Amino acid sequence: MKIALVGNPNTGKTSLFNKLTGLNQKVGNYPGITVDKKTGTCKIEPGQKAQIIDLPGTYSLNANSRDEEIVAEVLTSPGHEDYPDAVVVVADASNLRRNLLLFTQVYDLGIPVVLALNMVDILDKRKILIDLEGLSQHFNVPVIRLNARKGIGIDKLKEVLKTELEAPSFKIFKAKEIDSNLLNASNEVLGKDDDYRSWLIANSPLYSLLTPEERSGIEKLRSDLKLNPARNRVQETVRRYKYIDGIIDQFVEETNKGYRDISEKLDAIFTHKVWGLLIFLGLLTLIFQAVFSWATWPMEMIEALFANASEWVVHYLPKGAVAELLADGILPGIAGVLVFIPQIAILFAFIALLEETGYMSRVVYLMDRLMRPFGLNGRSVVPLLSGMACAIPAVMATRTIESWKERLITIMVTPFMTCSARLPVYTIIIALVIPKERLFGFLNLQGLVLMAMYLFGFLMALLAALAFDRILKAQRRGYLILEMPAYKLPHLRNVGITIFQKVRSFVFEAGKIIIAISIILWIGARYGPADRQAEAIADLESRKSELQLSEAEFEARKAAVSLEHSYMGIFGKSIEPAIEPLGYDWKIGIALIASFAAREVFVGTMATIYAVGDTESELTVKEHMAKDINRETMLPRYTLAVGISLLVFYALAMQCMSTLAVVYRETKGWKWPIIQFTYMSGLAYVLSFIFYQLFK
Amino acid sequence: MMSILGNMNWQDLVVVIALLASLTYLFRRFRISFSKEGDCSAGCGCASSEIKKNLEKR
Repeated sequence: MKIALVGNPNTGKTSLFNKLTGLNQKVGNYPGITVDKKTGTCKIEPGQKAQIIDLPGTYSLNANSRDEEIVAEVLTSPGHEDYPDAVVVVADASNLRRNLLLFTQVYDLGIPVVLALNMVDILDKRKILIDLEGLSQHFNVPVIRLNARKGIGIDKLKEVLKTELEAPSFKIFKAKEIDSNLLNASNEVLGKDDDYRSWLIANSPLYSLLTPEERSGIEKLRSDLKLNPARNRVQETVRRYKYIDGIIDQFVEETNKGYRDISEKLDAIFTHKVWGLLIFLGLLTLIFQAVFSWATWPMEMIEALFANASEWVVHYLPKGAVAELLADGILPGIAGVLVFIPQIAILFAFIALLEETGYMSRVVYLMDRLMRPFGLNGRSVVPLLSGMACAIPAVMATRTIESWKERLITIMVTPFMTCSARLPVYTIIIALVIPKERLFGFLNLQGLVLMAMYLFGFLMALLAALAFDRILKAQRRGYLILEMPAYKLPHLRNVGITIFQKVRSFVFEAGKIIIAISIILWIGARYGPADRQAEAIADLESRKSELQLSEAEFEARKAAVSLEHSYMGIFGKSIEPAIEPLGYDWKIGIALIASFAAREVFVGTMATIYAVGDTESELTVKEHMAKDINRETMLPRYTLAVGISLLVFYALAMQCMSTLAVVYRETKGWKWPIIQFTYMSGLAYVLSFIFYQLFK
Repeated sequence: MMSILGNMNWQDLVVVIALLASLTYLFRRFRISFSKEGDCSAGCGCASSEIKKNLEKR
């Protein structure tokens, strides 16, 4: 049995989904508000499981964007793999009028439906009375009171889903009354006698599930009948609201109309143009302080664990290539992934908390105001903010922007937003070059620099948008319709699920790439042209007495010489002249090149290179990097100037193969990904050069 | 070819297998990324295991 959850955005649909499915969830790739297509299983009675599909949030089946289209597509296509046996329409009980629009549309599709009135706790506070029994009898469908966050009403919902639900008994919207010719013609093209389905398909510009014959038939009838879909949709909406107004009059009673609840009072501060921004900046400071301060000891524990494991491997495994691969390639690679779990978990815990409380919508509102002068569309705000997690879903979420130019600008600047893959790179460089000091006795300086990097990325996105706006001359017509959900206490279970999903994805998705690259790098760093490596080592051996080094120092020098003459060393040295003006040596150069696959590869690469080029396997990558000496200046390799130059490079360069792939798919060609790669990486090179020369 | 393999000890062989496995994995990963349906390999939590499975089935 398949059950689809449908509802307006911010009605608590995801909370209900989490409550029904627990951890039995699979995340797919529907783009949009929650970006993902989520499916899961729910035990509705012993021996009977239902598949639950969490469809993207939408206000109407008259789709305007790809994510809304998915909902319409699934519900109007009995051949679709997700076509449900029943639909649960999750409605915000305190906003029933608006939520009933979608309900009446689903109802007219003739699929068995349950109306779940969520967030009923707000009803009591606002003193709104809804006659559930009356509503249920009127529509002849089950109507359930729900508080999904607290789990109230879930059992009742499961009980209802157990029973055989009946298809709706009448049609609310009679499409034939508006245009009977259109209905007759489209019913014929689609081979159906289902007025509302045919109406939706005929008036939608989107539908991708039609056969080529159906598509050409619909297009022909649109031109034959000189169809005006926009006018038809408006007519449908107006008629439905007229009907809904009657329902509200009949079944809803509001006894305290002047009531101003706590959410409205809080919004007066949180969305204030000065206080709102200051509070947001304060929250950001808190988050980045926490990312640096709270994660220290678990990170040190993980680092120490892997450093010990490498040492154990060197001592106890039979000497040879496998032991070296494990100690210097795979284990540092795995450590380079796992060590960032605490920080990723803390960052996403905060993001999930902000989303759960409803504060994120206020951030979108504040950002909208901030972004407008830079030529960014109101609808660009959501993709840009979701770019703080990852640019890929963010680029996909730009599908909600109707204007192509505005969408293109958003796609082109989104990768400047600081994604979670930059976090490991920033953390390690900041820890190396920024002193562990406190400002005013309580502000961690490293945390402040991390926050500055996030703001730098955001600022660059705004400036690049302004430049693109001038070049592409986009007409700004887009606007953002944003609903402010009521503030809620966060549900820790939902926060936990978000953290679990993000960490799992980081470890298993990014982790596999990092380990694969670490293995390849180790082999490239361990082996080289046999004669060149042997010659270099022989030369060093011949100078052993004049070098006056201890045995341990001599072994370390030997490892370094061998690395310099390995395949990786030769390659690194060949690119060194190009990166020297930015303050980088060939080792950083290799990490830089490897990071073009994915940024987070940086740490694993450095770990492998330093492990091969040194004999002290018990050191962590940070310790290796800290003790690296620039042989020309005899100063530490990672000075403040080199650190800042690297931070700027990673903030700006387009180092993510997967993002380029998604831009290629979304813009349907190579032109824009190539432009994006070139301008971002060129900017990174130039600004890193300037910053290095300034701070040198 | 046989003489190269003959000169290898088991440890070298493991390294060669690891290298081939890594290269194959990366190649497949990026081929999927640039394929029509695509997939994400970043650590954002949006990666679609279902799409991967579908592509593998094909």
